[in-house]
Amino acid sequence: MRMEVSRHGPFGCALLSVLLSPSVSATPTLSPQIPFDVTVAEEHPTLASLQRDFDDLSWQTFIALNWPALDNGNPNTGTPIGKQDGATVWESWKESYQIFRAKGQAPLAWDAPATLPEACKSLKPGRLLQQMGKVPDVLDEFIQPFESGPLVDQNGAYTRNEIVVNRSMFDSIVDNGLYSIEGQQQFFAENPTNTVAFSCGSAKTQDVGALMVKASWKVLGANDRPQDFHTVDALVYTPGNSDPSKGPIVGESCKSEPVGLVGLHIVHKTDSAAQWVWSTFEHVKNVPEKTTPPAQRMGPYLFYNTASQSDINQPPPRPWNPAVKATPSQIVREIPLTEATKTLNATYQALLRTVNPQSVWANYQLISTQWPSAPQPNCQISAANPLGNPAPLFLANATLETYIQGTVPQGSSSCMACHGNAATHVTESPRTSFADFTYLLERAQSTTGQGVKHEQ
Amino acid sequence: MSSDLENFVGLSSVLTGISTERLAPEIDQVGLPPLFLEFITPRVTPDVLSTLLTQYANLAGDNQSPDQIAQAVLMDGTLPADTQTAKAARSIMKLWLLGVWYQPYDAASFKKDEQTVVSDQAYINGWAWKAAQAHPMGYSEMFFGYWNTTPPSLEDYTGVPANTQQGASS
Repeated sequence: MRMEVSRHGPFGCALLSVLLSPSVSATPTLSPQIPFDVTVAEEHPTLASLQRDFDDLSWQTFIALNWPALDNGNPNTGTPIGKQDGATVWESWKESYQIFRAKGQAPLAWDAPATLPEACKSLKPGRLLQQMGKVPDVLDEFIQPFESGPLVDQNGAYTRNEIVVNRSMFDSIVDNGLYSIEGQQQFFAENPTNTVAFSCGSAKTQDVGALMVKASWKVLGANDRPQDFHTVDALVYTPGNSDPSKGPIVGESCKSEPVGLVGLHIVHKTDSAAQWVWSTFEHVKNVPEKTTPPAQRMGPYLFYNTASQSDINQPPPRPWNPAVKATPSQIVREIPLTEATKTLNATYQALLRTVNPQSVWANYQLISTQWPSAPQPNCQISAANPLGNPAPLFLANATLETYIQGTVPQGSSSCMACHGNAATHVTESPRTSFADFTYLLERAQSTTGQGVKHEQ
Repeated sequence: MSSDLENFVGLSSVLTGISTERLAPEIDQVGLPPLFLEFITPRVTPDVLSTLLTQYANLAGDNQSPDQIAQAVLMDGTLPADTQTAKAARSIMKLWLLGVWYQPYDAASFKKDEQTVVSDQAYINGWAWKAAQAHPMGYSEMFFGYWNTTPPSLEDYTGVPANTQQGASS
């Protein structure tokens, strides 16, 4: 349905021209089609109604990305989501370590299989969790933003993270040579107007645009119920480190272990969100909310022990050594879910259970969606208001920004405020340093063997 | 009839020169206007606030220009007015510009000249920063390297053209 929307002031024409004839309805549905952009449902939208629209976009994107995948990564449209657990669409996307390779080597083709470290090759095939060769720091993939610390589950194991990008974003990086430091330098030097600009999802052009996914996984132990999670057989790899200045001395290891999904960021650049749409999901059993009285915290939780008196939201003491069992983290959610988000979660979880009452996907919940409430039309960014007034002001995933939850400006997690600081390796000018809200480009290494590590 | 909040925003626009659409956007993820109104009500006292907002509403209803309304609220002939409403109006002006409340006179437990930063968001969103085509100390949303480029125009920041503003750049 086409719907006219009118707005005034700086928000004005922002979303108008891009979102009014979506091909994917905002009505809760189970569809393998990734939405092109948000669908504005109200004729006179409010902050609350737009939040609802973006939360709907988050859920529909979550469903499409977690749709059962064919061997080629495309959604298996003949199978509904959650009939049984299996490989998902986003899991066929390219992981960061396959893009930003040692010595700035070009990535292998999109459909090439992932390269495995020697220590993993003799094991049962699985999804590699822990990057290799990219940087010498063994803690790279499980410390959190600003080196705030790893997250430890109730079994004493570190949570593992990964970042993947879709074909559109992969092609932009490869076609423009952004996967190496020298490639970035050449990209900016060869044309004085070149700037990093990933593709925007657009209902007008029927283009999905650029997407990134950051996932957090926990190793499933004896006390975990695998049937409650989306699971994969993983190769949990820990690169060796012999340099004490870069972290604890750790021997290289690789274990074949089942892991369960506990957190999922979905980041989507669209015509109405040049600052990207930041959706974040978690397993419903991750943590209690801080505002829930302790006596009402109905565990067991994956990252909180109702019987523990430990201080909450404190990172484990250093050294952070993934090879050694650690004291479980005691985590609570600082900002509770809104009632509207809880209601929407219940709607989608019920819908998922219509396919399968035991659907693993009904065990996940949207925490919230951060979106620009003062966007420019056509995927542009205002120089005077580059973040476009993020709404809500703060957003954190308890498994991915565990220790920077809260509401302190510049200190607490805000997706856009943080990623607006991302830069390329070419910091000569704002044009060349702008990385379009992704820290991935800082992972590029030099063809001479030099590299700089950043993890956000 | 306009609500107190609408009159407060209208009065604030007259006092600062910033449009109501920018002070109180329809889609407002920060929500300073209701916060400010709630904050100042006991500090200027409900009676003074009511008088001030009524004065504004009547002048606006008479289709007085923003400058005429500001003159009527703030001035006594060629001199600054010494009334509580005028003093409250000056503090409201500074509140929008700086995010700081300057207590204009004694009111209950609030003592004249006390200064209060209303909230972190009030400070971050102070209009003085935008009028200076800059950002608050300790907080910037600009991208890496912005300091090496000409800032956006005054109009981009505030909606007010620079050509009539001494020292401003377009």
